[in-house]
Amino acid sequence: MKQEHELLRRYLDGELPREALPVELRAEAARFERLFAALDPEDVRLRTTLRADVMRQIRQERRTAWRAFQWLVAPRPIRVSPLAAALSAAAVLALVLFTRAAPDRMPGLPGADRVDTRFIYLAPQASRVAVTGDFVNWDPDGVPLERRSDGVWVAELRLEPGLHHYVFVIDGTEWRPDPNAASHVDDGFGRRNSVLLIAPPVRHAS
Amino acid sequence: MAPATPTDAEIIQQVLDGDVEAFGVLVDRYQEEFAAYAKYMTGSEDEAADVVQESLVRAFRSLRRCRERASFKSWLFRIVSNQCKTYLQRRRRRTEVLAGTEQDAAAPDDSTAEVEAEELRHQVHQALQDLPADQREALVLRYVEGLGVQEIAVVVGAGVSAVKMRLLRAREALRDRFEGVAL
Repeated sequence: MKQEHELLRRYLDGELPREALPVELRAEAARFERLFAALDPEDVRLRTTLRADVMRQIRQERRTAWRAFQWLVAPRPIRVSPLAAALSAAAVLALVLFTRAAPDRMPGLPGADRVDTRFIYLAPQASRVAVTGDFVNWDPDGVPLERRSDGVWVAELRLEPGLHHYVFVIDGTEWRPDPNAASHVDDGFGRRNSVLLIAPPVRHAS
Repeated sequence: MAPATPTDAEIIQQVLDGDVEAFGVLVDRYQEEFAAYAKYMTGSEDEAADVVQESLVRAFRSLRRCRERASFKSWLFRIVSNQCKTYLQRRRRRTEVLAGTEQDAAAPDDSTAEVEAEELRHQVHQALQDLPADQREALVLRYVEGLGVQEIAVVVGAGVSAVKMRLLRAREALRDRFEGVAL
C-alpha cells in the first residue's frame, strides 16, 4: 500500500497551511478535498418538525414531573372508615415489628438488591478520573473517583445485579477500558468497553 | 444597536432557572450542526433525526450536570457521539441492512455535471459506510464538521495519536478505493 507523504498527512490533519505543501503533493491534496467536498453538510436536512418534537417531549416530561409534584403536595380530604383506619394501623405496626425482627430480610425495599461495587484505577498523573457506563446512561462526565495518595483512584457505587459495560474517563477526555476487568467487548467504534458481571446478593436463611 | 446573542452558558442558566422554552435556542443553534455527523454515522437522515432528537432531550435532562457550560457544544457532541454508538450497537444486534444513502439520494437532473456530482456523492457516502465506525467518526468530524484533531480527541474520548491514526487509515482506504477514478 502506498504510504501517505508526511507533509500531506500534516496538511490533512490541519497542522500545515496549504501553501506549505510542495507542488507535487497539491494534486493529491486536491483529490482528497474533492472527495470530502462530496460530504457537504449542507446536503443534510433533518425533518422540519425536529425542533417542535424536541420541545414537545421536554415540555411533556416537565409537565409530568410538575403534576407528580403537585399531586404530592396538594392537600385533599380523606374519608376513611374506623375499621379501615384500624386495619391500616395494624398493617403498619406489623411491618415495623417484622423489619425490626429481621432487618436483613427486606425484599422490595429501595436499594435492598443493589450491590456495593468498587471501581479502582491507577493513574498517578491524572488530575481527574471518572467512571461512566450503562448504569449512568454513558454520561460523559460519569461518576468521579477520589484520588488516594498512592495515585490510585477509587469510587464506590451501588449497582443493580446483572451485566454492565463501563470505561474510565481520564481528565475528562480519554476513555479507557479497565485493565483489571475480567473481559471486554467491542463498542462498535473500535474501542473496548469493560464488562462487569454483578451477582445478586446472597440471602442467608435465618 | 442589535442585542447581543446570548452565549450557551447564559441560555443554560436561563433554562435551569425555569425557562424551559429557552432550550429551543440551543436546539436551533445545534440541530443542523449535528445533522451531517449523525447522518454519516448512521447512514440515513431519518435515523440521524432520531439520534439528534434523543441527544437533545438527554442533554436537557442532564443540563444540571453540564459543568463546562462554555464548551456546551463539545459536551453535546459527546452525547450525540454516544447516541450514535448506542444506535449502531442496536442495529448490529438487529442485523438490519440499512440503505439510507440510496433512499436519500436526490434524483439526478438533466445536467451531466450534476449527474456526475451526484454519482460521486453516492460513491463517497457508500465508501464512508464501509469504513470501520471509529475511522468514519474521525473522518466526518474532521472533514465534514471541521473539528481539529484535539477537539476530535475530546469528543471521541481517545488520544490525539489514535485520532491521527484513524484519520490516516480512513484516508488510505478512500485513496485506494478511488484510485484511477476521475475526480
